[in-house]
Amino acid sequence: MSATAASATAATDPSGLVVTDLTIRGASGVALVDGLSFAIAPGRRLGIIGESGSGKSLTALAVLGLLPEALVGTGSVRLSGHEVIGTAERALVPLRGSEVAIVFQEPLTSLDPLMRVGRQLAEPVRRTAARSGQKLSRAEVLDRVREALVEVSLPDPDRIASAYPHEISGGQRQRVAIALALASRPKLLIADEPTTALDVSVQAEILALLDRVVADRGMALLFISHDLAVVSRVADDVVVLREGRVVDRGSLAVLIDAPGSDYTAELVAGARVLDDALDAPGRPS
Amino acid sequence: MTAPLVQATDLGFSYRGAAPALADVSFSVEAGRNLGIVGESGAGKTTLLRLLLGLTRPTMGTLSTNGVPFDAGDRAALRSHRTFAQAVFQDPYSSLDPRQNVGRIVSEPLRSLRLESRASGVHERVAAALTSVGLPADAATRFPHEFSGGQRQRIAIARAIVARPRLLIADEPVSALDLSTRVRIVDLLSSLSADGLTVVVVSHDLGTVAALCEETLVLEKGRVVEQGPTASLLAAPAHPYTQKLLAAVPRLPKR
Repeated sequence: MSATAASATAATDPSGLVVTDLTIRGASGVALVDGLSFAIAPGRRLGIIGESGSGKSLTALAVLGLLPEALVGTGSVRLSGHEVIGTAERALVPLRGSEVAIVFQEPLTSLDPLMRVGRQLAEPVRRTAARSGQKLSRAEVLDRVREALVEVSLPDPDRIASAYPHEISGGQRQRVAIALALASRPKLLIADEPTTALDVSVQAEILALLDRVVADRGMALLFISHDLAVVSRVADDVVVLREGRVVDRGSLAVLIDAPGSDYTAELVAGARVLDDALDAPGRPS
Repeated sequence: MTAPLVQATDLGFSYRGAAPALADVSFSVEAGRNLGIVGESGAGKTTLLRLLLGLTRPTMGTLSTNGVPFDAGDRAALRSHRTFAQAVFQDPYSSLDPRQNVGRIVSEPLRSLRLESRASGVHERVAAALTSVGLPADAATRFPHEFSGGQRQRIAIARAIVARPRLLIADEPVSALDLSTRVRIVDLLSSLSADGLTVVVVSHDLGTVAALCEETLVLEKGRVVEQGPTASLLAAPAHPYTQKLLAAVPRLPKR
């Protein structure tokens, strides 16, 4: 599939996320993301694969309308038909949470260290209810906070709710960050390297959790990672980014067998060496 | 029979007033057989690494190198330990002094251990170390910020091998690197170990350990749950924790 095909989808389907010709420039005018186009229909999943400097995290920030001041985004990012690029901050606030939410690599990025977990979760819970005209009682808020913690498979939700972020483990913090992102019932969840800082067994649990909640809720998922094997756990279709440009796109299973670019071939070969070693340990020749 | 490079017997360590961070750890490192130490956060990997480097003395058990008991409290023993074992750390951005040029960084062990007094000798050995890690000799006159993450890790490895140690202790040496760079550093460590260096890799990544190490030791909560040749340990993990770790590794779709 080419960039043109993605833009064609963009023109015909206004729902979901549609990114068209997104370009992000730094102060010097250098393009950090260059002409990126992709679309995610409601309930669908896309992986972005890229190494450091590929522009994958900037792309996530651009979708949220959170690009740093020094950077300029051009092109178009549409969330359920709402344009994000060039839109005033005040008009973006209602989109964040209800349309799109994000989970970062480091859960402490999104958690307030001075606030108990339960209070942090109560905020989006209350706001989301207010959006649909509901005014929740204290007890109802507590109930929904507990439900939110149960949904991300946290044992003993009452203890977690009354804990400060530093009092729980890294894996538990990432579950809380996911609960926080889910609390405003977004249509699209962006996960930017959500398991990179975690132990391998915790990583497996978080990937299974993301897979389950995204399916349960019928959400769309944009999953960003440098790790092909990790992406393959949650998404079938991927875009491969290198230095801000798309070098490959399509089904990950197909790309792994028949990479469409030298760069993807290099990534696959690298991943294959370490993957094969697990079946047949030995030093690479 | 020659003594193993390292022999750990019932090694243990407790931080003051806390439960043991490490207990009853016994293993040996034979020359030419790389060892992978695998475990998750809190397994005791870093504590074990500190003991191996002589940065901390064990509170229980003994450590011998080349058949001789090693006491990290003895200055002379520690000094000779530095020529025996050198370290490479996870983050090549924080482990290199940004104000020193690469030549000065790499030559540091030669100077601090007074292994080479002639300037020309230092120069030659730095150039040789840089060449053996695949960096151009003129890298010596440049500064760390001029290099990528993978190249910085090569600089760190050059510093570790410049004094020709027998043992290279690498703490998550590729975890901070991009995937394509990761394999090249694994290749480099592998070729260095074919060249007479024995590598101890501390890692949570079983793929890296499988690619590099003949022997593997699995730590959980400060204790060894399983150890043995990497091939048989991965093919038939006996302990439930090893099985769980192996099952958790994300795999590529099958060809």
